[in-house]
Amino acid sequence: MNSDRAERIYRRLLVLLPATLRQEARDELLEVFVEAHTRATARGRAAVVRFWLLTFADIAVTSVAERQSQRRRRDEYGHPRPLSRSLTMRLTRSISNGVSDFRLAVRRLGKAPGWTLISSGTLAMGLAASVLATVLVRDVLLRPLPFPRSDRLVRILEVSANGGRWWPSFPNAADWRERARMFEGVGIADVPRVVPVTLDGRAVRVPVSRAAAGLFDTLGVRPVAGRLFADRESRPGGDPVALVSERFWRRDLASRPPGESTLGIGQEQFSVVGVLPASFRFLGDGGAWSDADVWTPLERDTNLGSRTTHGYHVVARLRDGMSLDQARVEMNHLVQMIKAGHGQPTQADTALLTPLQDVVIRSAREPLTWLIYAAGAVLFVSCLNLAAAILARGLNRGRELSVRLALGASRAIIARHLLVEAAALSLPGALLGTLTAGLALRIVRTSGAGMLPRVDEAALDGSAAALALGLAAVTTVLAGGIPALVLSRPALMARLRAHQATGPREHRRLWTGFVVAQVALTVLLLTGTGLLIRSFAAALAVDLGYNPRNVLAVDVALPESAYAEGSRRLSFYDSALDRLRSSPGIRSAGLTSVLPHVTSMHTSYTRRDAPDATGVLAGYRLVDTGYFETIGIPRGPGADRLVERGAAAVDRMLLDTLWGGDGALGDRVLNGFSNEPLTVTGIVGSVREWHQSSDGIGAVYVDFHRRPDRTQAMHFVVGHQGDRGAAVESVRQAIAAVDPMVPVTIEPLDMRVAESLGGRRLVLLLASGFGIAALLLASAGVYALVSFMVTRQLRESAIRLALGAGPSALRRRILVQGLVPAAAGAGLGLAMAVPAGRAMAAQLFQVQASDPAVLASAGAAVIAAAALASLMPARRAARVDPAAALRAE
Amino acid sequence: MQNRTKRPAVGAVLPHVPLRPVAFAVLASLADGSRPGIDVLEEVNTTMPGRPLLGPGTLYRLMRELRQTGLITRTGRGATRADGSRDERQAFHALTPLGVAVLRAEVARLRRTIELAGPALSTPER
Repeated sequence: MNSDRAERIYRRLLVLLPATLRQEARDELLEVFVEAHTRATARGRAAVVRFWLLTFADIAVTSVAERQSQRRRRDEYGHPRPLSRSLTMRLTRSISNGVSDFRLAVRRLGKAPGWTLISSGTLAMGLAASVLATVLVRDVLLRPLPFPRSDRLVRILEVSANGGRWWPSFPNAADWRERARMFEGVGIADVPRVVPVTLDGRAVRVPVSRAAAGLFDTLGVRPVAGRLFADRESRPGGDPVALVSERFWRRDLASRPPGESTLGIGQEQFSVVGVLPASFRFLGDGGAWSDADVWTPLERDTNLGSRTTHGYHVVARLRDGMSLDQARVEMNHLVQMIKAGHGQPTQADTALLTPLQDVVIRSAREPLTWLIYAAGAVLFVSCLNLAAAILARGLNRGRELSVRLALGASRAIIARHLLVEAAALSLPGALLGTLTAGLALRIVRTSGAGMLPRVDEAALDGSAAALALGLAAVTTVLAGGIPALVLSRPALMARLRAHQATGPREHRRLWTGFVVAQVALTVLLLTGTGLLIRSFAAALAVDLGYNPRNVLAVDVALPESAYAEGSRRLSFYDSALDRLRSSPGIRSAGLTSVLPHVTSMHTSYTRRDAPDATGVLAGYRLVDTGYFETIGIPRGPGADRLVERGAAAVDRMLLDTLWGGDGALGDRVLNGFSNEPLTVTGIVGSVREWHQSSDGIGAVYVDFHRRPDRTQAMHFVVGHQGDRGAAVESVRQAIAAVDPMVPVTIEPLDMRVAESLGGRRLVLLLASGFGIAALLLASAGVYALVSFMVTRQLRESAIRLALGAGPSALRRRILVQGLVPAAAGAGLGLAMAVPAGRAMAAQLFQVQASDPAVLASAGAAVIAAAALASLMPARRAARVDPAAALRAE
Repeated sequence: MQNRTKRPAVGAVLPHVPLRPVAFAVLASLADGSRPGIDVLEEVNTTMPGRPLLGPGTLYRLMRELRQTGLITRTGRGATRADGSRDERQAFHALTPLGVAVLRAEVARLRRTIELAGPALSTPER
C-alpha cells in the first residue's frame, strides 16, 4: 500500500474523532502517521499489519477518551452543567437559563421585525388550518350527540326482501314501540315541513314537525320551560298543544311563559305548553340534523298512513346490557313476527339498526377526514418553511455562532439558543393561529350552516387553544431542532467561516430538501383541491332534468284565518298565476307543492291491476301544467291532460321502474298513503332531485285543483327574462294585487340547487383556502431559498459580472437555481397525488383520481409560483454593483 | 539547558510527581534534546515494556496534556535533532525547564523506590 493511499484512509478515520480535536490536531497527526507508516513499511509486512491494528485501536481509544475528557472539562469549568446535581438546582438553573435565553431571543427577533412577522405568520397559517380542522372533526364527528347516554340511541329503518331500505311506516313503528323488549323506548317523528304559522296576527314560515308519544322520553330531552306532551294529548282528538324551540320562543314569542301563547297551524290553534332546549336537534329532511321550531303531537292525526307509507324517523334507546348485535337479532325476529301477525302488505322484512350518531355525521365523515389530512399538509409545509427560515438566519449568523463555540459554548447551548428562538417565534404564531382559526370557524359556522351537520355546535375553546400551543411546541421542536442540530456542528461552523461566500454544501442540500418537500406537499394539496373543484363543477353541470336558470322560487304563506276553505286557496292560486303570467318581464309561471331539491315524504306506489304488485317509492307533487314549462321539464305524451279528474302524470324514472319503460298510459296506480287510485294520462321527464350525485327518485304529478285540502303551503315558480331585480318586483306586485296580506319569500331557484350540494361545497371552500395557503407558503419557501443563495453568491455574481457575464445570463442562472428544486418537488408531489386522489374517491363525482387536467394545472401552478418567487432575487443579483460587492467582502 | 533559566521551585514540581509511566516515557525520550513526534512515538513504543501502546492520537493527546501543564513545548518545524540531523517537515518537541525538573524528580523518586525495595527483592523467596 503506498503512503498516499494510507494517508487517505487515515484522513477518513479521523472523522471519528471529536471535531475540536480533529481540527487542532489534524496536521500533526497526519505527519506522525505518514512517517510511522513509512517506517513500518520498511520493516516488512508483519510490521504494517501491526501498525494498522494499532492505528485503528488508537483512533477508537482517542475518540472515546477525548470525548470523556471534554465532558469532564466542561463539568470542571462549569459551563452548562450546574454546580450542584440536585434536581431542583438543575431545574431552577435551566429555567432561569431558558428565561434569559428567551429574553435574548425576543430582543434578537425584535431587530428583524419583517422576518419575525413572516415566520410567525407562516406558522400561524399552518396552525390555524390544523386547529380549524381538528375542532370541526372533534365537534362534528367525535363529540357525542347532545342527549344523555347518546351512544345507546339507534336509528331504525325497514329493510325489504330485495334489500331496499325504507323509512319506517307509522303502523310498523308503533308496533315496535309497543312490543320491542330490547329498547327502553322508541321515538317516532315525521319530517319537518316549512308551513305558515300564525301568531299575534302575523304569519311566519317555520319548520314544523310532529312527535309521537315517547319521542322526547326516549331521547332524554327535558323542556327548559313548561312541560312535554301529556299522554292524553297524544291521541286522536287530544287538545291542540305545541312545543317550541328555544330560538323560536325568544325570537317570535318574546320569551313569554308557556301557556300564554297560541300558534295557528292549519285550521287549529295550538297552545304552547313547553320550550325545548337550544341544543335539541333531530333528524330532518334526508336524514339531515335539523331543528324544527314547532312540535305538535303526531297521534292527534287519525291518518298516519298504511304500512307501505314510508316517511317517519324512528329512533330507539337500547335497554341497559343490550348490545347492538343482540338488538339487531331480536329486532329482526320481532319484525318477522309482526309481519306474520297482521298479514298486510309491508316492505318491512327485516330492520336496520344504526347508531344515531353515525346517521347524523354520515355526510360529514368523508369530507372532514379529507380536511384533516389537508390541514396536516399545510402545517407540515409551514413547519418546513419555518425550519428553512431559521436555518437561513443561522447561516447568516455563522460568524456569531462560531465565536460562541470558540468561547467554549457547547453544542447543547447553541442548540438551546436556536430552539428557544424557534419557541419565541411559535408562541405569537400559536396565538395568531388560534385567532385566525376562531375567525375562520365563525365564517364556516355562518356560511356552512346546512352544509355540514352539527357545524353550529363547533366552537373554539380552551382545549383547542391548548392544541394550538401543543402543535406549536411540536413545530418548534421540528422546525427549530433540525437547524439547531445542523448549525451547532462545530466542524460545519468552521467551514462556514472558511467558505463564507457560498456556505457549506450540505446546508444548501438540506435546504433544497426542505423546498422540494414543501413544493411536493403543495402539489398534493392543490391536486386534491383541483379534484374537488372539478367534481363540484361536474355536479353542477349534471343534467338536472330541468333548468333552474332565470327561475324564481316564490314561497307564499296563506294566512289561515282568511284562507280556511280549500276553494278560497284555489282561487287565490289561480288568480295569482293569471296575474303573474301577464306581468312584465315574466316568461311563464307555475305552481308546485314541492320544489326540486326539497325532499318530502315519499310514498310507495303500486300498479293497481298488476298481480302481486310490489311498491315503488315515489314523490307526490301537486302542480299545475305551467310548472313543467317554467322550469323546463320535458313534457311527453299527454302531459297536458293533467287537469282531468283522477289523472296523474308519472315521470320517466317511475315509468322505468314500475312499467319497465312502456305501457303506463291508461294504467292505474295506487297511492300507498291515501289509497287514492290514479289513472296515468301523461309522461314527463324526470328530475334529479335530492343530491345531484345520488340517483333520483320517481315522481307522480297531480293537478293541484284535485287536492284543495293539501294546498296550504305551495310554491310558485316564475320564469323571467332579463333583470332579476325587476322580475322580483313584478312578482311582489302581482301577488300583492291579489292579496296584499300574503307574505312572500322570493329566492332564485339555482341558489336552492347550489345549497343542496351542501357539505361538498364547504369542503371545497376550505380546501381551496388550504391550497392557496400552501401555495403561498411554498412560494415563500422558494423565494427565501433563492434570495438566500443570491446573498451568499454576491461575490461570485460580482466576479461573473466583472468578467463580462451579461445580467440576463446571471438572471437565468439564479432562476434555474429556484426552478430545479421546485420542479423536483412538483414531480414528487404529482407522483404521490395519484394514490392520494384514489383515497379521496368518495368525495369525487364524475372525475378520475388521476385527472390529467388537474395534475397538469397543479404542477403548473407551483412552477409558476416558484418562477415568480425566483424572479425578484434574480433581478437583484443581476443588478449588483461588482465593485461594491467585492469591496464588501 | 536547565542552566539558561532559573531552576523551578520545588512547590511547582511536586504536584506533577509521580508521573504516569507513559508520561514518564515521553519525557524521558525528550531528555537528550528536541525530537519530532514520530521519534517520540518510536522511542516510547520500544522502551515501554510489552506491546506498542501509543498511536498518533494517543500520543497527541498525551503531549497536549504535557504541553498544557507546562512540561514540554513545541520548538517549531525544521529543528535540529540531538544527533545533528535535521527534519524539515516534522514539528519538534522539547522539555521545558519545569519538564526537566519534573523528569529529574521522578527519576530520583524511582531510584529511591528501587533502593527501598532492593532488600525485599534480594530476599530469596520463601
